[in-house]
Amino acid sequence: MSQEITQLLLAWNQGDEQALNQLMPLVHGELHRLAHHYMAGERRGHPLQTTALVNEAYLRLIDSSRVRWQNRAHFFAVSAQLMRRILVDVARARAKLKRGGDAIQVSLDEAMEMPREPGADLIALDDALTMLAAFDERKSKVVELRFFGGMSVEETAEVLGISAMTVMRDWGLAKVWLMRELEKK
Amino acid sequence: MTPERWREIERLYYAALEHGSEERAAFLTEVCGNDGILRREVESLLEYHTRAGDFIEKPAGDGRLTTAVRRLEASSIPGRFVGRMFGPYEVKALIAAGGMGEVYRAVDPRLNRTVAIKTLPEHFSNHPQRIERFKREARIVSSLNHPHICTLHDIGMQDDIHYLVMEHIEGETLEKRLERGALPLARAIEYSIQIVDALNRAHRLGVIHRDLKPANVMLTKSGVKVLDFGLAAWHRPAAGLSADAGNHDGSKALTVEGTILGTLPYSSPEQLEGRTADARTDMFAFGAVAYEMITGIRAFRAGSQAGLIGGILKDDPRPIVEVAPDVPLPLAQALSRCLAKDPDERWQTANDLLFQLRSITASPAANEILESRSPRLPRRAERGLWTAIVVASMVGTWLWARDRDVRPVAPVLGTTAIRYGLLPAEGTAFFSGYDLPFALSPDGRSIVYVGVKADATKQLWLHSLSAGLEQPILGTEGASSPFWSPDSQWIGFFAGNSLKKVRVSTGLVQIVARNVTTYGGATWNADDEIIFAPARPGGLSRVSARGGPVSPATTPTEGSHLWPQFLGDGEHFIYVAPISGRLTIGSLRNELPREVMKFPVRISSVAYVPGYIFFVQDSTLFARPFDEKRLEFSGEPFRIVDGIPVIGFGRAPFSVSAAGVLAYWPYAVGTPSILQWFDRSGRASAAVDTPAQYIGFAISPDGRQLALSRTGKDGGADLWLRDLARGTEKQLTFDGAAFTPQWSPDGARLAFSGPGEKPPPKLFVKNIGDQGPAVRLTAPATTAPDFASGWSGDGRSIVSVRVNSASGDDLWVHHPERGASEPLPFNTRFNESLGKVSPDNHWITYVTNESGRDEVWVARFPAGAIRRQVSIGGGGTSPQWGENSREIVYVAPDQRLMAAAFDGSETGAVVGTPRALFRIENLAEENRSLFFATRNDYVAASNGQRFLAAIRVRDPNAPPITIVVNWRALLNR
Repeated sequence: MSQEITQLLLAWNQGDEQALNQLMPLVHGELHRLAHHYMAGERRGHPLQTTALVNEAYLRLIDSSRVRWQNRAHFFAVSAQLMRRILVDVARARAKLKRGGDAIQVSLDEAMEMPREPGADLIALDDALTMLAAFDERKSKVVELRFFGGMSVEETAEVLGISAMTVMRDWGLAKVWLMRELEKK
Repeated sequence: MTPERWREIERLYYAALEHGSEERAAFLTEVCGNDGILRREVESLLEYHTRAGDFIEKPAGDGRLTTAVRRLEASSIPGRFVGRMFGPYEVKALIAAGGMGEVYRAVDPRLNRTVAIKTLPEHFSNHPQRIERFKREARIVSSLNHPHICTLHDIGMQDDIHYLVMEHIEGETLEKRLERGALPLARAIEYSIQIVDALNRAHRLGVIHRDLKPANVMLTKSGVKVLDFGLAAWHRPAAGLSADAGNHDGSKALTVEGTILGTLPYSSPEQLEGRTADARTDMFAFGAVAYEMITGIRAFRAGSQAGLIGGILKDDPRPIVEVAPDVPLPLAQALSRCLAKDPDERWQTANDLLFQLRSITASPAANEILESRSPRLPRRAERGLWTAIVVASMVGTWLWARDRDVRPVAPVLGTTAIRYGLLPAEGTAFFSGYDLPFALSPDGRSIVYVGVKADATKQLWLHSLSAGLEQPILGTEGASSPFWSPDSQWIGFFAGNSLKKVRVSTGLVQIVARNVTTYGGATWNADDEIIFAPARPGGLSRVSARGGPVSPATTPTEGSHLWPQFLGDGEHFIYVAPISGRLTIGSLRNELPREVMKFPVRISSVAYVPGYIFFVQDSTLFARPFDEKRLEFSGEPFRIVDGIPVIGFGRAPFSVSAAGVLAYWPYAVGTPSILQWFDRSGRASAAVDTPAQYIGFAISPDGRQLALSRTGKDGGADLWLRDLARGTEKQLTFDGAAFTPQWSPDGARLAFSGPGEKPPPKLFVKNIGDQGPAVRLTAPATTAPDFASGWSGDGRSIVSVRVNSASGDDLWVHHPERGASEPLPFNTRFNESLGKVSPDNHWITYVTNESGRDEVWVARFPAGAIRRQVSIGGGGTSPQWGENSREIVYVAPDQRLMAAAFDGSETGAVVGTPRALFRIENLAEENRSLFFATRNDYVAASNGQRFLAAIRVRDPNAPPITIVVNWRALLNR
């Protein structure tokens, strides 16, 4: 399975949006499976965070030994992008759940019996980022890599091929703009 | 929002931030004018600036994605670092991968050097204390400068991955080699000596290997290289670490990682028991490795891990002589002692073992043992028999065995030569100049070498080859060209403008002759006559070692005579004539000289041992059979070794002893230096960082290019053009004999010196723009060396320094258009050199030693009608013109760069008092006599504001002197 996922991921990265549509059910399947696994007791009592779960699922899915990533920056960039997608999907699922969702999502949410994660409303942030990208693609990428990818300023600079100074400036203004956008809502 | 509008907002946002909050309103009013929307947009963002704080600063994935991805990378993508930078290193290719990390081939672009980068396992990063210790030990390991230790250049960390930067070694591992069975005995001995030599160096600095095994020994053309010193501690959490031993159960640790298995057969009992590892632990591992090299089987074998551990702890390996009966008894005994269970019963130091191993191969007694070859014992001989032979209690069996095997066999050592590297004493480097920096004693027991310290002070060091000890010889400061008396009791050397001798046993230093120097070597016969090549053109000189007058030993018909060596009768001697390229026999009794050989390629220094004359051609050392009675060669040359560079006037760094020892130094660079820029205040900046030997360099008139002459690996020097801005280089000459480049004022041509068809050096001019050959200016028949010194200001003539034994060095002017040349009228019988014509073409500044020391002068060009001394207060050299011919800059003897204002006209000249600009630390100075008559140690850039200087450095890549024991074995290959 992981080989299939890897191929889809590469295809998505090369611009095939269809690939992502095929990919996401697989990712969610794995999330579901993992959630049950944890529910089964091995880690009972451990605070289980969505992101940790997503991380783990993602890493289980991506068989990087079979992928010749162009380079590390490429791998990080793709990962950050996918993480954004997964996390936002999970957040949307949870939001939907509140309005009465299906069984799978219930069990998924049960697996994540934890307080709401600190930080931003992921869905709103995702929307705002998409808006930002419309007139400043680079700043949107900087946020994606730093916030969703967890990358340092230097790593972000490496991925985007810009200076660390520029990343700092982009990050500073993007933060301010995003925060204002989120508060508008 | 449009991108354009957004950019404007961004610009104002950051501009406003640079103003204090109280000024911002005024600033925004000014820049936004009537655009209220723009102003509100910026203001609202500014308001959030103070509030944003930690907003989204904590990554959604809690940073765990990157951590996880890194771990994933570390564990599952071999070769993932290819194409990336590790610090300054460019990773090129994966060499090997395994549980212990990966090894990559990488390039250090600063030195253009290939290195190996070894990444440590990722889990390693989780132990801060281990990392600290790793760094501490790595610093020590990196100081293990030894020919048989893989050099650790650097350590670093990238993305939580610790890595080691090591010497890149080509070859196969001993482990791989052993898959094909035992090594030839002589080769096994050679490698054993090298491994123990490496251990000895490491142990002396307190570094224990801890994991010596065949997989950690690389076999290369130049012998073994031991890898991974001290690194075992980082791979193995336990198994006998000196610092934290006792906390671990060693045998448990051994089962933790499967990778330990390969190490187990070479682990010592104390490691298995989790006790402290020390130098003697390495002795044990060495014993096991040597056992396997000689016998082809492992010292300890078992069907299971438990059995193996039990065997190491309790059982003795099968006696070596039982498995390999050819092994000399002393060697078998030495290795048996390595493998003792109790560390107290082993060799206590690698030095002791090294001494033992060397004496097995080098002492006459041991040679006899080797030559007699141990008896081949019947297979049914039981284990105790070996011990019995040792104590010689079973004489009957011994004799019986000998009777069974009486046919004469080639002595083991007769078929091989043992090689190892000799490093200079700590804190010194072998002096690399244009004379011979070392000499083997005739009895083969010692080597004397010129060691140079970081502050460029030189001194003789005596290294005892038999004991492996070295000591400085007091009273030999500044020494060069050491040579031995035939009884090995005295060392002759040149220092302080005198020929001196020192008695080895007492350290007594005496002056033999004053006012003599050499660059062409010396020789000493049994009647205490010394013949040497003085550092001036002409014949050889002779003087009694007991003192007395110096008198001529040869009379040259052309050029000089160099590299004298007495033959065995002490009456005849061989020497080299560079211009004719002949090897000639001279005599103390004034017999007519007789030529015995014309050097086929180029001349080299020579050596004589009874029966052979040694010389170098094309970097290969030859020994040619010589019949001393008939004074002629009696056979064709044998190739002995390759890789001996010849530089200068034939200086080939080798020495040979009749006792069977040969020493050579595969190093071509003279005094290695880098090039640095200096501004007028002495602030330095990098220009060319790679250590090299420069034989002249000059900046183009437009300041963009550097013409330089640099020696290559084979000792030849070629011209290169370097683009100073881009650092790119283009080779201009290819025959290995071009130096002292000088730019024409229009920057289109270079004058330089080179021997052309044959020595001596002549003057050439080359157009830079075309591929055409250089044009020779010096007449081909001229026997005086001619060195390019500079161009006239109008670019129509070239000034050179012509070396003349009668009138000293003189300045000449060549007129290429007229095909004529003449000496300048103000030459004296002393030496004039380093002439530089002013850009306005009216003056020439130069150096003369008319006063008894080098002083900088300036004279009206070309007639010399007006002359003024420029340097005051103690001499000067290397003059250059500053801006607009209004300043002369030169180097004072204390290496201060001096500047003197100059104002000249047709009727007179005024020279200002020189003032010091700054001191150039470690300015690379060469012996200027003859060779560097035109070499300036620094070059003023055309504006007189920047100076380029050659700065002496230690060359980290300088190789050791190779010692070959039993060179005669190399004759019959």
